[in-house]
This record gives sequence, structure tokens and C-alpha cells, in this order.
Amino acid sequence: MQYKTNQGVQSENKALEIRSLSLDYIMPDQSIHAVVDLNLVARTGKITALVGESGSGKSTVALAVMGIQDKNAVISNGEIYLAGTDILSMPKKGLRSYISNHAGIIFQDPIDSLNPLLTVGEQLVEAVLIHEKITKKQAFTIALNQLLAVSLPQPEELMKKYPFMLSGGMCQRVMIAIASVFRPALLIADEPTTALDVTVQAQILHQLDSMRKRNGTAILLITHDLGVVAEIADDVCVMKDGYIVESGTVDDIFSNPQHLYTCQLLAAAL
Amino acid sequence: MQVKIQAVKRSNARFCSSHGIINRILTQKAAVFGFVIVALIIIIAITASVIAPNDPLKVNMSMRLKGLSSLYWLGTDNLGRCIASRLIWGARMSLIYSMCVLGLMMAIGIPIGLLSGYAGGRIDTFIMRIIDIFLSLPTFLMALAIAGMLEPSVKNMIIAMASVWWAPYARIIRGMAMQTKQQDFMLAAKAAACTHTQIIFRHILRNIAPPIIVMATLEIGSIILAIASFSFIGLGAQPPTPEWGIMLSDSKEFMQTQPQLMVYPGIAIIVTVMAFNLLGEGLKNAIQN
Repeated sequence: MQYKTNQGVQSENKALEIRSLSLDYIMPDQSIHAVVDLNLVARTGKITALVGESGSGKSTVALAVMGIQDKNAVISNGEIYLAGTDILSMPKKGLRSYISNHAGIIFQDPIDSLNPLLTVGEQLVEAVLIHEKITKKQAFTIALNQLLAVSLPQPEELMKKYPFMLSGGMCQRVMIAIASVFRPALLIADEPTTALDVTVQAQILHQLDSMRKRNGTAILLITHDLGVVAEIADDVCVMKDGYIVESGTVDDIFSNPQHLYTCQLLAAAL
Repeated sequence: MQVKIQAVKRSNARFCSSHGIINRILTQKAAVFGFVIVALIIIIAITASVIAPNDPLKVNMSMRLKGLSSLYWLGTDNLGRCIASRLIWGARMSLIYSMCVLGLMMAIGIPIGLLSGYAGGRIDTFIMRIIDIFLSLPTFLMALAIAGMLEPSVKNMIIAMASVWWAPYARIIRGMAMQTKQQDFMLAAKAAACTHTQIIFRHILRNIAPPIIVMATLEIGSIILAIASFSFIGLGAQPPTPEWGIMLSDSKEFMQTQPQLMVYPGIAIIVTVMAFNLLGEGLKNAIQN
């Protein structure tokens, strides 16, 4: 069966394309329009920043792309093309494995994102085994290489450790290692540095940047830190109350903001 | 608040690195005491056939109601059976029966609780209403009624008890599953396309295992007590099984003349129940701190 694709003009370098996505949170007494008519493109090998204040719907977009939004979140309209295929038109069966093959996600609080009762090794091997039917030993080797790829020292030792024994920065690296096991086309970083201190922040950002260069991964960076955006992003989308109010390249947005809200954000960051 | 949550998580995580939990149990005298007695009882139960001085079932009418002696350590009962041997075999019976009840309760309660907590929504509501029905009934009376309707036997007693007592278990497990479901790593696991089975058993069940173990330990005491009660009134193990409840029941006719016949099984029950409760409390404190 053929699913809806966005093949056509310049679709090759779009790891993620969201077209007029609308998402509502259905509550017993009301419904909240969390995302309204949103268009967004994350290009291969580029970092696309999605900025906006808390509650503007940034994370909701991320969860919707990963297909792990809350049960009461209803997508009322739109298409999400992940690696060329509209995931919203795909049947539920096989959807999750399709998504996890093409996209990975890391969250704000790295320590909480790892299961506290499983060792780093167990969690990495589990992630590898989900994607490929190989022996545990082979998976273990892949996991080791994966830890080396995110520049974690002494990976053999690290595999045996529990998340609470690691620092936040190390946990976030482990999360990146897990999320990028099979070089997904898209990596969503949902406020990856908010819970980390400044020096570690720079290291993690550097890690994301080098991954993009090495694997050509498209990175969707969700943040409210405009300093980070100015530093590493290529494209910027500014989000407010569920709408994208302005989008463009970093230079355009920072040198010539058009929307009042963008101006306010920039002013607040200075 | 955040700090506290972190602390709880870390202590949770340390549960699996065994030296941490053992150290914390060792600092509590009552728990150590309970553990030693439980260990003793388990050893006695396992080696019952070796250490029992006599056959617990052998009737010897010429030796009935005798006092302490080197052959009959604690004397004999109204049928001339060795009380010490019957007590020792009774430990084995009590432990086996209570493990069966506990195992069956868990086998019903854990899957239902996990399903209810993980699935949520209508399934959860439906299961919870059924559990509410069970909780609204007085459990002991209900188990008595079921056991009474069935033929009196150990198997039926175990079925009756487990079929009534799983409900509070399932409810607590459901709560813990819901709590675990909300944590960030569940989202990460879902994003990595873990299957439902993987999430439920690998991520949720493993995280709630420590409190389940504590609950189980605390429950064993009351199960042993209940089993003895059932046997006492004739709905559980049947004579001549060497079981503490039956020993109590057998000895009640001689309460006036031979009160020690009641005292021995009574003490055995009290000590066992107390030991399991002390151990359970100790475990509870150890994983809470």
C-alpha cells in the first residue's frame, strides 16, 4: 500500500515537513487549541530552532511528530511528513517503529529520561534490539560504539552504571546515543540544555552540532534560549500561542525581526 | 519537592544495588530480629523431615497426653502424637500454604493492576469498579463463605482466600503503575518504539517491584494467621495434617486440663506472624529512607 508522500520539488532534503498541522487538547469542559495551522520544515543537515515561551505548543509539536502525544490530544488537521511519508495517514500498526527508525528525541531532564532501575548498557542494548534483530553480543558492540560516538569516556565501565551514578551531562549524552542509534533522519531535542549548567550546555550543543555534520541529521531544536539559537541554529521558527508567528533563517530573524512578538523575545534575551 | 523526588528515585535505584538495602536493613534491630526468626522458620520448614524427632502422624494411644521427655520434646497430644514434630511440620505447612495464597493473589492482582494502571480510560474505570465491589465486602467473611460453599480442603481454602484478597493488591499496583507511567523515561521508551509488553514488564513492573515485595512480606503474616483460622474452624487443612490451626482446634477440648497443648501452636503462630511483620516493616523503612 502506498502512503501519502511529499515527493516533489526539493523534498529530498526535508527530513521533516509539517503542513498546516492543528492539534487540540480535548478536556471534559473545553478544548484547547494547542497548535493551529502550523507549517514547519527541518532540512537535512541543518538545525531548525523552534522558539517560544512556555505553553506556546513547542513540545506538543515534538510529541506529535514522535506519535507520543497524550491520549486527549487530537490532531484535527494537517500532515506530518517524516522522511518523506505522512505519518498521520499511516495505519497505527508499525507506525511507532517507522517513526523510531527515522526520528529520535531527547528530553529536557536527562536523568529522568532514563529508567532508574536499568543500567545504561541495558537501555542502550534494548534500543538497539528494537531496531534490529541481532544477537545481544552484536547489540552490545553497537552500543559501545554509540557511547564512543557521543564522546563518553570508558564506555565499558559506563555500560554497567545506573543513571543516578552519572551527571546530567553524561545522561544527556547517553540519551543522544540512544536516540541516534540508527542514524535517524531527524533528531528532536526538546529543551536539551535547560536542566544543565552552562559549560555542559555548550558541550551538549557541540555534540548535536557534530552529529549533524557527521551523519547529516536534521535537528529540530526546541528551546526558549535565544542565545543558543543564535549560536548554532540555521533556521528559526518563532511560536506563540500555537501559531508560528515568524520563520526564516537565523540572520533574517535576528537582524530584521518582523513580528512584534519576535522583537519582544529578542529584547527579553538581551 | 524536586529534591525529595530525586532522593526517592535514587533510593529506588539503589534498591537493586543490593548492598545499599541490606545495610539499611541491618541498621534496624527489629528488622534484623525478624529476619533471623524468619530465616530460622524457613530452615526448620525445609529440614522438617530431618529434624523432627518423630513421625508427626504416628498415633500412640499408650503415650497420650504425656509431658516433656527426651523422646517427645514437648510431650504428646490427646492421640499420643509428638507435639514438637507436629509443630515443626506445621511450619512447613504454614509456609507452603501461605506462599500458595500469596502467589495466587499476585498472579491475579499484578496483571490486573498493571493493565488497569497502564491502559487507563474505560478499561481502568471498569476494573476499578469491580475492585470496589470486592473492597466493599468484608474479606474474611467473604473468603469464609466461598470456602464454606466449596468442599473443605486446602486447595479450596487457598482459592477462596486468593479470590477475595487480590483486590486491594491490584488497586495499589494500579496506583503505582499510573505514577510510573507519568515519568519521563516512559515517554522516552515509547519514542524508542518499545512494545507494550516491554514497557509494562521491563519498565513499569521493575520499577514498582520493591514496594510489591514489601507489601507481600507484610501480607504473609496475616495470611498465615488466616490459614490457621480457617483450619481451626475446619474449612482449611483437614486432620490429621500437622497444621497449627488444626493443633489448636484439636486441643480445645483439653483446655481445662492440658492448657499447654494450646500454648505451643499459639506461640508458633504468634512468633511467625510477628517475625514476618517485623521484617516487612524493616523492608518498608529501608526503601522509604
